[in-house]
Amino acid sequence: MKKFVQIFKIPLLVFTVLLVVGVVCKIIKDSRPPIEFVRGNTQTATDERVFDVADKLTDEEEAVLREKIQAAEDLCGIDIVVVILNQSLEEYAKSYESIIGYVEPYQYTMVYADNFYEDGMFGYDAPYGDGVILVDNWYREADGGVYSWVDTSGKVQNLLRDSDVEFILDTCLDYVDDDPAYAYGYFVELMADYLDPNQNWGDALGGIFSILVGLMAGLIFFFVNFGGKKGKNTVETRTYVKNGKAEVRAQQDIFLTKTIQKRKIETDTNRSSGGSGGHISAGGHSYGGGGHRR
Amino acid sequence: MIFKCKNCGGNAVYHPDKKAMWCPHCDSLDSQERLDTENMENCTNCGAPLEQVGEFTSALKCGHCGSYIILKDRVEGKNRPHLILPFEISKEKAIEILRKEFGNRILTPDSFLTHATLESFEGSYVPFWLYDYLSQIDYEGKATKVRVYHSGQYEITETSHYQVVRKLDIQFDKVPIDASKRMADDIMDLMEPYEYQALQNFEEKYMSGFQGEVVNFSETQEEQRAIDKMKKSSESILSESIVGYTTCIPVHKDINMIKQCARFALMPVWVYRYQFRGKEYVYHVNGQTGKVIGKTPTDKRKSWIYSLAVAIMAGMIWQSICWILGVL
Repeated sequence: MKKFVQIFKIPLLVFTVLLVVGVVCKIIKDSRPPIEFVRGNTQTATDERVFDVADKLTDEEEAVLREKIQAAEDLCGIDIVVVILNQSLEEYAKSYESIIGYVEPYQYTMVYADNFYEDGMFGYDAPYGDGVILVDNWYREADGGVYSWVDTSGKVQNLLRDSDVEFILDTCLDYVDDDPAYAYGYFVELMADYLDPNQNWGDALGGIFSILVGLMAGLIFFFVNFGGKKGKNTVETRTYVKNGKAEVRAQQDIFLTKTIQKRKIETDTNRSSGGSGGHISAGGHSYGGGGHRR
Repeated sequence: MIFKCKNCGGNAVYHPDKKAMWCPHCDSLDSQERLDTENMENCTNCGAPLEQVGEFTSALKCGHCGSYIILKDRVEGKNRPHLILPFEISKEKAIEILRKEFGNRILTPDSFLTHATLESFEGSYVPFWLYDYLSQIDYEGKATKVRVYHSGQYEITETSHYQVVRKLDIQFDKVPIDASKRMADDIMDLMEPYEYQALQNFEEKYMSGFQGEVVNFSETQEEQRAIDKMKKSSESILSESIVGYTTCIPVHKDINMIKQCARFALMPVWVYRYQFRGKEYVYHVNGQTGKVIGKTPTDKRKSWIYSLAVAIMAGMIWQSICWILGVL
């Protein structure tokens, strides 16, 4: 053990200091009251959060989803709205081109989401304020795409990066065809995970991860130090070759012929997600977020 | 045969650091005189029976008086080596090399390289056959160079075809193959390379202070191993001469190995045998270059305890960092 302490002198010192500071931090954090939000927006047009126009969910599934949304809203201080459609939005979106410019097919659901959020005056703190809306349209548009969109508004726009939105959409919509209730529920859970102010990197990376990190470190230590042979083959190709080189009697590289093949490059336009980098709605409000095509 | 100090009568041995004959009893240098005897059964110094003389032994340490005896019959006539590479690394240096390599490792048992275990640390001259060969290569192949580029919506693949001809002569000089049954071939292969500039014509005095063997088999018996090594090198040199092609398929390849000579040489190796919990660990140190071959000795119980301690420490460090991040 003396040898162990001698070799691990510095890591042991770091370990002790970190452990003491860590325990102090843990005590401080546990003594803090959890962050609670008070709803500031009393002008919201409706208390409803699930708009299943396409009728993809049963009444029970809708009720479960509502409960999840309610819990996530209280936890994060944001409005979460889920809209499920099964209709072409092409004509609807194109009618806004005079205000917002040319609209691509992937933006049809974006235009709908912007307007729905603003018409409903959603936002936890104030109308058009903190919140997120998912518009999932099951209708296959003329270009062959099925589009979804997530708008992030207010503080959510700052808290979620486009890549986060892409990840959330990709992850939950993977299940939407087989189990829509699970997919939309998962969307709400992921949002809560990302936006819960009582959670932070520290909480997310502790617990079970600490055990895994410990196990990994122990295993690496074991395999690095256990056994191990010393002695590699250090004989090189030319070690025993006189003067280190071959005598060349003949060396010829004769060109014979040339052949040419041509192939057309195919591009894949099937499935994709992408962030918008932020946009202004027809109503003049700013949103972040991103879309998904399937 | 024994080398005795003319000044004190002690056993003079070859000293790698001093590069001279040295008397450990009176510290004289080059004061040796050679005493010959035909007797292979008794020690030339004390007359005690030499029990460790094996079928191929040519030099050994008397178990009774500790003198180094060279067996005259085993270093003369057909048994006489052509060349010898004298030890350049002393026993002390070899121990230091091993200690540096393995001794400071955290899981090495505490008894490793302690005085009690160093009794088995012996210098040995290992017999080798050194082969000279000429390798003649005749090669012809079909090769291609492929260039891929884009033009508009098209990908263009342009393939140029070549005929490749190579005729090479490679002179191999002293390719070593160990001629000892006591030493494992793979270990002796890893001992290489030796630096041949220090090779000397054989003289018995270099063997005083070390163990030694005559060749355990004829030059032809293990010759194929040398030929295989040389063929492998020839293939590599041939490949290196064909560069810049995407593919190259041989149409004709002939590697003709022409033997020129084979010489019997003695090469220096330090050997340390260490026993720990019923298991033997063997370490070899090249007596000229100091190259080490061996496996780290590990105390299993120690390794489990230490790994567990590291795991707990790492896990707690990680958790502490998480707690610190939690209040930021």
